[in-house]
Amino acid sequence: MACRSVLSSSPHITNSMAIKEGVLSFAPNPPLLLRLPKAVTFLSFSASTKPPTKSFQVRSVAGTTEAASGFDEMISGTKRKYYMLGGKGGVGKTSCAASLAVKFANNGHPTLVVSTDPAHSLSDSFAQDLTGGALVPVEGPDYPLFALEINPEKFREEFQNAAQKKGGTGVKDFMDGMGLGMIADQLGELKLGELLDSPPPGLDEAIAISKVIQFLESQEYSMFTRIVFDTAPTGHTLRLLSLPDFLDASIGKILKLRQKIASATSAIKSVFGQEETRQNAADKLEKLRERMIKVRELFRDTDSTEFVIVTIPTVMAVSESSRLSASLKKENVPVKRLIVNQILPPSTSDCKFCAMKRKDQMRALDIVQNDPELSSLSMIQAPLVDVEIRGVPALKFLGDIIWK
Amino acid sequence: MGDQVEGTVQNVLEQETLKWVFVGGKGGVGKTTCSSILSILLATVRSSVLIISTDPAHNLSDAFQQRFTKTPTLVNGFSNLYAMEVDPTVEHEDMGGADGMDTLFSELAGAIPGIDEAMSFAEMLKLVQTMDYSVIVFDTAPTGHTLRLLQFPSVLEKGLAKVMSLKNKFGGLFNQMTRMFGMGDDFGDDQILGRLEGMKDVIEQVNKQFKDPDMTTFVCVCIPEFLSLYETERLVQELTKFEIDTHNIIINQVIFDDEDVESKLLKARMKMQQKYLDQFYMLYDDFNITKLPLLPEEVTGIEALKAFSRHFTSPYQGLCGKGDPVERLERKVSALQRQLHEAEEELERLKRGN
Repeated sequence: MACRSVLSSSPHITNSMAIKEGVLSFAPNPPLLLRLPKAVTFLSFSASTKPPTKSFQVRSVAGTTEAASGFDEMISGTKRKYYMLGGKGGVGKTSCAASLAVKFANNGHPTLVVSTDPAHSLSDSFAQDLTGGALVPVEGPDYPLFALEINPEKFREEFQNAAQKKGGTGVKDFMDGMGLGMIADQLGELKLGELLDSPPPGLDEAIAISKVIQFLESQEYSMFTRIVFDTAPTGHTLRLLSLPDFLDASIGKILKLRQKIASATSAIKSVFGQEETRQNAADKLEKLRERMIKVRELFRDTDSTEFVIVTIPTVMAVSESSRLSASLKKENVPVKRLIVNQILPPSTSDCKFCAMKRKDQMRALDIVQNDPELSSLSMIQAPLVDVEIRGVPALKFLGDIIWK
Repeated sequence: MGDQVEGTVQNVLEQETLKWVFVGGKGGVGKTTCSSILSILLATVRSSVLIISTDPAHNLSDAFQQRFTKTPTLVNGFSNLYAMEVDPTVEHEDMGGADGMDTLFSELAGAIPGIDEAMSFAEMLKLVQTMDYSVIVFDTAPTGHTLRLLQFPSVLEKGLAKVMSLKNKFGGLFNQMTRMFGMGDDFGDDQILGRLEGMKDVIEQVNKQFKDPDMTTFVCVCIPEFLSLYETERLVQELTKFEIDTHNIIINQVIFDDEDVESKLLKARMKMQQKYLDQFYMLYDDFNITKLPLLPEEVTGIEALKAFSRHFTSPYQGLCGKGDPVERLERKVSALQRQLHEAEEELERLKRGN
């Protein structure tokens, strides 16, 4: 059963406006410790076409066509690229991310795939235990493939530590540095740090991505040329995009509060000759904010980052994908591709159930074609299969269908 | 399998003391469909029902095919069912010109990450309380989001107690210091503290109600797959930690052995699902487990929701549920005849195509 791919790309640049836009959207590359040889990449424009009619002959012809595929664009060049796969929960983001990582590795790119999903779905996909918060080599692909499942609990602790000191909170640190140690001790008894036990949604993902960026800037991990992120369901992604602003407000308040306390107690300090105010806690918070800003900038880097939306052919899922696409566009996050997963493959012996299901799915696909947000994306169709996609061989099979 | 007692959500409908019903689970398992239908069913037995979506991805408008906003809107075709979609974020409020040490604690409270969300949620709860609905159904976000949401009342209560204590301990001292050193004598209103104090009683009440199994329950929605089973277990454990009652599980998208289900693909998936269904029954033998069939068509719009709701109150009767072998075989023969006819048509098309 051949699976149709409606993705096609034109290797020629024929639109001068497109060329102009390409030039304008160029972003300077962030410096890397080890500058990799830079290959020339051609701008490629994809257009989606409606799936061919259901007649058997056309399907047969389409199945044998060697269509130019968007994956060639994805693997060209050795400059590091990031792919974020997101969308509605339960549509198969992890399988798509894992299969993409396997395909990258099999095409010569040392690849890292990262998941921040607390359900450890990446371990399930690879049928290999990847927990533990460290890079684990995946067995099977031809070239190096590593996976990382980030434990939100550990990074939540780091978030608390950024605003907290042993035995108290950042506020205590501030006050201690201003000669109010006795008061700070009493403040410590209140255990204000408990208030930070529940960081806002989206922060898990932001800190995880920030941590991965730190990894990759070191010499040890410079070999990776493709990074795939398996992100959280839509709601978290939307929060993730606005997180830097949120943290600016929050951390900004704390720093402002520190200034206010400092000015109020400056007279006391001068009388008792206290030493300089300690900067530790404030510096930590400032660094955290800078890291979040870095994450936000990565999301908007059109040169090296792409967000891929994954959905399934139902009206509700397509509607949610449309809203996600609109939000990403509003935040200037580059989106080019849409994967529609779990499509019933063509069959010559349709049962009544499958026939009705397929008709329902075609209706949803029509909505994709006509949606102002989604119709401009390259649509990739992925089939519903009769086995669970677990383990590298199965992921390779799936990847060869999706990523052409 | 046949010996097990089939479950429904009848117990939720019959529990008249219920005030808060949360519906949650892994993403993509059909939470919105289930919460919508649950609210429709509750509207038939309760005087007034409000369904609230707290998922930033908001699907409630899609499910009902009607636009909902931040304020309760009457659902078309109902006289006692209302819906609203809230996003638990607050526009960052300008603290205004108020200056001085008394705003110190307000700013401290406002700087706590997540407290804006908690306050927004608390204000929404306060609003809902004053409207006096008989029962409120929450269509929640995927699991991780929900667990944080459920912590908000506790977080706020804890935060309020600490900030009040802080103010009582040091408020006077700071006032003296500011006067002693000639700081401004103007003390503006404690904006956030004022709002916090105003909500204190509401928050305490709601926090107590959330932990009361007579007033609050959590319905877990899942599908018969590994990841959904895993996430359901994680959710149930967290709810236990939070002292929130849960004893209903809805397993959605189940493929039953039905006459319409003939393809090898669906047969294979049915076999795969059976493995996890067995595990669900083993793990949650004291839960009410409701199984919902996978439908060929999407359930959106009120008519479709109403039609689908019958599976919530009586177990699905698949082919294996009916005892008449003659009827079964007759349906099977009809299905096979249809397949033969379709195959013959396909053959003719192929011949003409040569």
